[in-house]
Amino acid sequence: MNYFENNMEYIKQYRSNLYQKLQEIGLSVANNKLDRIQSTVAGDGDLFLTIQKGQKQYRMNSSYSPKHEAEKWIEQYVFNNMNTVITLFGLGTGTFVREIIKNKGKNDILFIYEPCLQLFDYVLNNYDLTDILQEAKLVLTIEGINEFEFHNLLQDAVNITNITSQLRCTHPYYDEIFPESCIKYWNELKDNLFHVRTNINTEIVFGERFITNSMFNIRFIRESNCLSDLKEEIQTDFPAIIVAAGPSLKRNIEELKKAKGRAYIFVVDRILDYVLEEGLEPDYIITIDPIKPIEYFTKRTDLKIPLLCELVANWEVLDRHKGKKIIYSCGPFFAKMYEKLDKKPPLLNTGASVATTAFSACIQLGFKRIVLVGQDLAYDGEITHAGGVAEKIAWARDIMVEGIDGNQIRSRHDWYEFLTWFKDMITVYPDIQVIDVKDKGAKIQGSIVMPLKTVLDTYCTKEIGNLELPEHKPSTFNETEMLKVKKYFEDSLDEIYSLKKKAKEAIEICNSQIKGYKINHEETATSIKSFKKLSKINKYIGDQSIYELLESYITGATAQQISELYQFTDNEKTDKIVTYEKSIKIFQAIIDASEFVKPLLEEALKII
Amino acid sequence: MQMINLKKIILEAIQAIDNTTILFYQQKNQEGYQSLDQTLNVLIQTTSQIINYKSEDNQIQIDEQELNTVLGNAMTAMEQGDMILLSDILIFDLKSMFNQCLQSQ
Repeated sequence: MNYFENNMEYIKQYRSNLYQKLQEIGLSVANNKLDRIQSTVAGDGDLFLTIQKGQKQYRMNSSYSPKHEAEKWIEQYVFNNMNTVITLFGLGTGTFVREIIKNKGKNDILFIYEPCLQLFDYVLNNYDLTDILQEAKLVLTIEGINEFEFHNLLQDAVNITNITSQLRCTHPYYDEIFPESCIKYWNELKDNLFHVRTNINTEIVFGERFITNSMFNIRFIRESNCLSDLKEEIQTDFPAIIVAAGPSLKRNIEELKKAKGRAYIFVVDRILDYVLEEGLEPDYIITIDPIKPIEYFTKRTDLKIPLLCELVANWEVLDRHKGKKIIYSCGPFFAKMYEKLDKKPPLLNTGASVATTAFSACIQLGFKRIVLVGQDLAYDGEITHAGGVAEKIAWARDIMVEGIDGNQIRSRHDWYEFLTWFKDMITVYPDIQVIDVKDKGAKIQGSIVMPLKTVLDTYCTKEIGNLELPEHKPSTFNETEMLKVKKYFEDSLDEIYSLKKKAKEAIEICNSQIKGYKINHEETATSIKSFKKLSKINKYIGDQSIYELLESYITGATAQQISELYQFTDNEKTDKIVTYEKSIKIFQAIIDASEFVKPLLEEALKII
Repeated sequence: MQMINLKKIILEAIQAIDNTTILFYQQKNQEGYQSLDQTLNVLIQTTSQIINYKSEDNQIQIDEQELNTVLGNAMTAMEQGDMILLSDILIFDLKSMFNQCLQSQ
């Protein structure tokens, strides 16, 4: 087999997604960004690569020794930390990649973004990449083939434990040869950082509130349904219309009234009263925010339109709403409850805004056509919401984005995050038609811009017959099952006692380990035994269902310690002591969280 | 000049080469250029000291013609702005010539 056949065989075996994409799209589509690519034997016998683009020639590796060059190049990066996410712009011939692999920890993950299919094709034909291709902790993405994986998997890989220890590398000269792709690469890293920081901040800010809300909302489980319960009732050949709160809604409200009964109308909580006052009763309301001020929901106290919610949503909203609650998502603690009763737990990729959540819910319900109304994601002058509202958020940064008319318009960074989310979802679900009806605002990549009137005339020509009302639907749990639900929470209360006891025991062990390492930094039989005991306690705590509930509280209380837990220096003794000190803070947070939850759960048990 | 002093000068030159070239290998060109100024002075002094030392009929392993060729190649690489090639020349050619000098008795 030649290099190409061999490399492709390894791609097929170890990177099936990339292989499939390469088969679908083909290497032949490579647009010739480069005028010439050439390999020459270097002084040490290895090959080095030369690229010509326009008048300029780039030697991509040392002509004396590519390996030596890469060994020196890698010395600028420090690989002390654990679970580090490393990104590299440019695969090249693989020489620099090999040095990263040689130096990185076994749990570190390397993401490679190769911007040039033409170059990738050349390298596959002329270099042996099999060692790289079979590397487990490596994501290889090629622009135009599978770059979405870079975006998608990077979001999963970066979290509170490694956000500050990421390593970002660029292959020599790639930034000069592929400047546009390089900007894309850095924007991707920047956006991902923002996304992860937002998630972490959400946990920190809402940690306690998630628990307060879900403990209160336990009382609604009895009468509730899961989103999947609705599936059989929904006629998905009709469009779903998601009504968000953007300024353009006002210009569409009259047309929107005509959609009643001809499409399923989902309205976000923020704009509910405005829509009701306009005389339109939606089919569903949707809420997500754990601390949404109640005045942003509705003033009405007799509201019975079904509410799509998650168990951590603001308890005040759920309390004021008097109709059927449809749970679209729950945390892992409640998921275990559903599983114990052989029910599929509700789970949704919410995307952090109420409109993105509505979008996700519509996808899960099986709609094939989703119409976005009032999803402006940009300012209209100073106006942010329909009804002339000019919301000011102190932390929100303004940015410029592409408008539906192709011009740059003013948006906000949080809206930009939602724009990216919509773009991703449209990429992931190519069979779903997404129609954006606004007349101005931010362009949602992949959506079709169409006036609402045209949408109604084209796709909403029939009445939805037998529009089944969810309030008459039997709840997810019957009375017998509710006894088991109650039992689950009673057991969880017992778990709190044992969790506290174990966390106290763990703190004692940590203190004794610190004392030991201060005297003697070498491992002793006692320190090894204590470490094993601590690992057992960790596992025990992690295995408890209730821990899943406490986690957001613990993350909020110890974000700093968790974010530094996998960061190490060259001093092993100091590292050990510091790690145990951080662990004490985390175990203490477990105790605090247990004490916080206990009375809330006891109260919930009385009501359920 | 005594050999011991010359060796000290050569060792300093080798250190200067290592310090400068690593910056270019790591694509830190701005810092590399700043460091190169100083390194070039050190290299000029070192090579002239070596040649002087040899001209005084001392035993030292150095091929002057080869040294001139290496320095010429380094100049060309610098003029072309090819700092990786310059680094390679300094590390693989000049530094190894300096190391040979160090082995001289």
